[in-house]
Amino acid sequence: MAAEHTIRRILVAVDASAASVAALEAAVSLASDLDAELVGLFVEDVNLVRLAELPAAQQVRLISARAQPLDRDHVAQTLRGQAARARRALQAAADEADVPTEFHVVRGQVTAAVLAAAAEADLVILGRRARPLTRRHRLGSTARAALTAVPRSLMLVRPRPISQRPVLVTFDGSPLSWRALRKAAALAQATHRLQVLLITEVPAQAAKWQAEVADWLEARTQQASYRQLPRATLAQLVTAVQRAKGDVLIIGSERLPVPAETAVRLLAVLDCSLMLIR
Amino acid sequence: MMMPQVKSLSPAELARRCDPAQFSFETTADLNAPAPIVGQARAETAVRFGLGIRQDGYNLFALGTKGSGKQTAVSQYLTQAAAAAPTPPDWCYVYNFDQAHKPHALQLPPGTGTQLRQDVDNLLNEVRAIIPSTFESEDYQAQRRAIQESFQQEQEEALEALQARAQEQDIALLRMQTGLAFAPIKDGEVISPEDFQEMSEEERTEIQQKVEALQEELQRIMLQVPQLNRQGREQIEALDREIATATLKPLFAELESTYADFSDVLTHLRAVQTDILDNLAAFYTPQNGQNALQQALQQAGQDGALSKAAQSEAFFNRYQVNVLVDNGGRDGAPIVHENHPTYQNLLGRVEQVARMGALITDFTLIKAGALHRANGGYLLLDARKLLLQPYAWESIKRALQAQEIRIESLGQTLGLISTVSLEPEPIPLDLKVALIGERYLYYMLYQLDPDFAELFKVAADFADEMPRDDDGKEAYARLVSTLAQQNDLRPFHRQAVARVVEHGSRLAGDAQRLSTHTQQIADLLREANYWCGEAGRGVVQAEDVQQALDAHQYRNGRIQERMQEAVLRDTILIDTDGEATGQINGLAVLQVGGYAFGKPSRISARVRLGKGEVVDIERKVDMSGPFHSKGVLILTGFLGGRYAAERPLSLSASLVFEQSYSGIDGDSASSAELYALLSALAETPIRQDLAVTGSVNQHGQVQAIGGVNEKIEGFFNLCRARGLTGSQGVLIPAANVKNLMLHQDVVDAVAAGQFHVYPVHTVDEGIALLTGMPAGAADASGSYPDGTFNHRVACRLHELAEKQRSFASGNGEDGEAPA
Repeated sequence: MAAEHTIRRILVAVDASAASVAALEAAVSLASDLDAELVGLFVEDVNLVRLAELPAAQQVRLISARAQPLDRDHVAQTLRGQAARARRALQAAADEADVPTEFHVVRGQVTAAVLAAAAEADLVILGRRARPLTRRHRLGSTARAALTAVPRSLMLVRPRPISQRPVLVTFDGSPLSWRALRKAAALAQATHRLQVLLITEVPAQAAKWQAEVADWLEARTQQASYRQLPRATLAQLVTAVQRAKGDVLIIGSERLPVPAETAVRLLAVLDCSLMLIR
Repeated sequence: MMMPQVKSLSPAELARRCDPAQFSFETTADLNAPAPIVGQARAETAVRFGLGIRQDGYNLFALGTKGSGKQTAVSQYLTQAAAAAPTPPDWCYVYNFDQAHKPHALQLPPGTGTQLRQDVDNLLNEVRAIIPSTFESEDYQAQRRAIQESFQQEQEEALEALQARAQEQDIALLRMQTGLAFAPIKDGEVISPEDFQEMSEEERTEIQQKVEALQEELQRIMLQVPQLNRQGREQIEALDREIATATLKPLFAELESTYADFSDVLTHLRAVQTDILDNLAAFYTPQNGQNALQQALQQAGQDGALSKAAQSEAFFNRYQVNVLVDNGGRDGAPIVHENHPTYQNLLGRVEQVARMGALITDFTLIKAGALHRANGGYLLLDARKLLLQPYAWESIKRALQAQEIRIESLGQTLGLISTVSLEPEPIPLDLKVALIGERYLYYMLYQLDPDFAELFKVAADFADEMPRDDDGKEAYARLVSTLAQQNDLRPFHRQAVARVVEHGSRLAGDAQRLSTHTQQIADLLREANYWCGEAGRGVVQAEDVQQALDAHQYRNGRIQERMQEAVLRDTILIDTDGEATGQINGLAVLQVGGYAFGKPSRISARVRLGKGEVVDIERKVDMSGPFHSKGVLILTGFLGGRYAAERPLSLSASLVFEQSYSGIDGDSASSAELYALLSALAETPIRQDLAVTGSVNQHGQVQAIGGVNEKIEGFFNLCRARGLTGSQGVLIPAANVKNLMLHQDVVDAVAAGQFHVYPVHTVDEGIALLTGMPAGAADASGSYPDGTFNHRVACRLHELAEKQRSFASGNGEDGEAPA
């Protein structure tokens, strides 16, 4: 049956953005279901600190487009405030779900700091993007870097998840698939909307898998809808997500190794959250 | 000179019987034709005239005694007139899109009002369904996205270009919490302050300059954002409007063709269309992909006091049609009888609903009043009820004068409350008002209200009685039949009908007339029907009617009985036999709660020497009314004129109603007082087994009085209780013979010679009956023959005058005052 690859530590990067709030929610539900420990990480962006220390540093205010001198203390204070807010948000969410937590604040280059912390985690959860400059950037630089650099499972969360929309998961009978299904079931716990994409060209195989998955879900008192995909190509996955109006896509298939580049292309087209099981 | 003795009346003269044989039917079940309104020719003419004349101010006032069937009659005439009149239009109130507090009134043909309301409701439902689907369509969304993106793209491209240019110069664009900032970078990281310090002055200045240039460019781009956003919004609004217009047009075109003949409706429909286009947001709330502005608006809406759903439902109210008056399904003009004519029930009202602790209102809460419902037809009101309601009379006059119905809140008019209210557009009024009331109200209004004569030019005066001729009796029979049917009573036998006719005469107090007081007749019929049922009969007989009358009398007879008892036990002294001087039985009528009965009363007179005055003791103590006082003063005139024309009237007399402890009025006792006075003067006893009623004039003629039947019966009942002697009787004015409708008991006693009713023309006739002496007529010299009553009176007065003269000249015998 399912080769349970235990997830003990879940790292969630939190800042003040909407995407990180969504990431936090996903992280809490997964940690609760998988009995894992939740590690919150807030990175004080060293670039901002340095900028504030430069002479005559200025910012242009978003609301008024007015230039305003940057004050070192003010920037530091703002960062501390954001960290405190992130800690409180994590604590509140974790307390509610009764999940053990740790919270770390580090100063450094954001991407490097996140990747360094990721080395110790079994699952890393990030926002797809922080506060974007323009809408066209659907993937933040940290998320992009994490796709290639994080060796373990990774989840990139869209801002403002739409809770009534289903969680989609690929399935090909492999241990990786079972692990993916486990996460999918955990995320779909609240919504009861789960769609399993059976990756096979053989209908009989699909039916067999479906029965197995249904049995397993039955034990969790969960249900799913099923859909057979002959091949897990980029195009077919995109179509499946769009048709189901999916909120989360979970890929854990040995037949679909998902190189980082495929994931980037997928995220360029799709607006959903993506989880890669590795 | 002897005068012939007055003859007692024959039984036939005491009560005019109605012969059942004159009726062609056996029972009233044989009569099918409904009763015409009986005996009201004058009122009928007035009503027909009033209803026929379609000029302002020819409203109707039906006046008459309560219970005389005014309302039934007026309703009946109105029903006939209304059926022939055209059906008035429907009236609706609709929203005024220019001034919300002044709703527009729409006039529509009968039945079209509800149709319009239904059509507009359907239209609105369609609009509410079609607008979201239009805006959700792929086609629209694509156009909208294209506009949004074209503007966003412009900004974003500019920003990206700026970012790229900065990067070329080793400068990064950083996102701060509240803004954007440029920072010099080295190896992908912001230069540390230490490295920056190590740079040469030129390098640092160069970086500074680059950052400043970039920052200026950034500011320029960001300043364009609001303008671009607005342009985008405007374009999207224009797109929305264009698409919605195209969608709405066919829906409205259908309605506009239906109501093409009604320009007001068309104007309103156009206003509705424009308003929908101005408020598209209310019809469609974008789900996703909306721009920031819409999100912000949505947010603001949720934070507002009203929940979004309540707000939007209240918003859609404005497109509704409030059908105030629906004349659909009506044939002819309406007749409205407003039983509770309050200000609001007449003029309509604007209701208010409490929402979030505040009272609010809109045109859908305008409610019609009786004036609205009766507009184009007839409004029937009880004058007394109308006058009792505060401001109702003034308001109805104002409406009739202005010929329009203007709904104003009473609280607002009086300045008592100030809350949001409406000023609905006044509706033209074309209405006939029929007021129904008692006569005194009509005359009082006429006298005191200058507007009244202008507005109520037609008075329909309902008679209280009608002639008892063949037609009258026939009509009465039909009335009995109709009332029996209406009240679900058993049929009445013709003998019972005859008894009812007789009672009709009794009610009228006149053997030659019949009462038109239908309410009393109806009561009698119902009661007779009850007794008929008790007796287990299928047809009401004369005895049932009699039983009803007797039972009514018994039920109401407590006081009458107590009074008679007091006489029988000699608590109240009244003789019914023997003779006495200066004492006579007068007759009074007492009315207790609608029940009248006669009561004998002793009147006494004493005379002594005096200066020619008759003292009315009742008046001295303010227990008599002016009519009674007048009667007593007439006595003095009579005495002086007849007996003392040539010399001073030298007596002082006092007159009193013995044992009277309440007030008294009327002059019907004046003849009795005169007899008592004359008896005292002549020192001649008069019979106590007779009772007297009738007023007298200065020439000694006896004149008619009221309540003659009750008076006779009052004395008869007392005599009968003591045992009839055969000599007892009552003197009545001869003019009252026509009024006699006496109880059968009296008639029977008279027939058996046990009791007598004497019609008297003059005082002299009365004196002859009461004293058994001839009264005596004066000869040419003015003196009366010996042995006559008048002679005695004249002698006594002469005596008194002589004594008076001797006193006046100081030759009085012993200075004593005469007795």
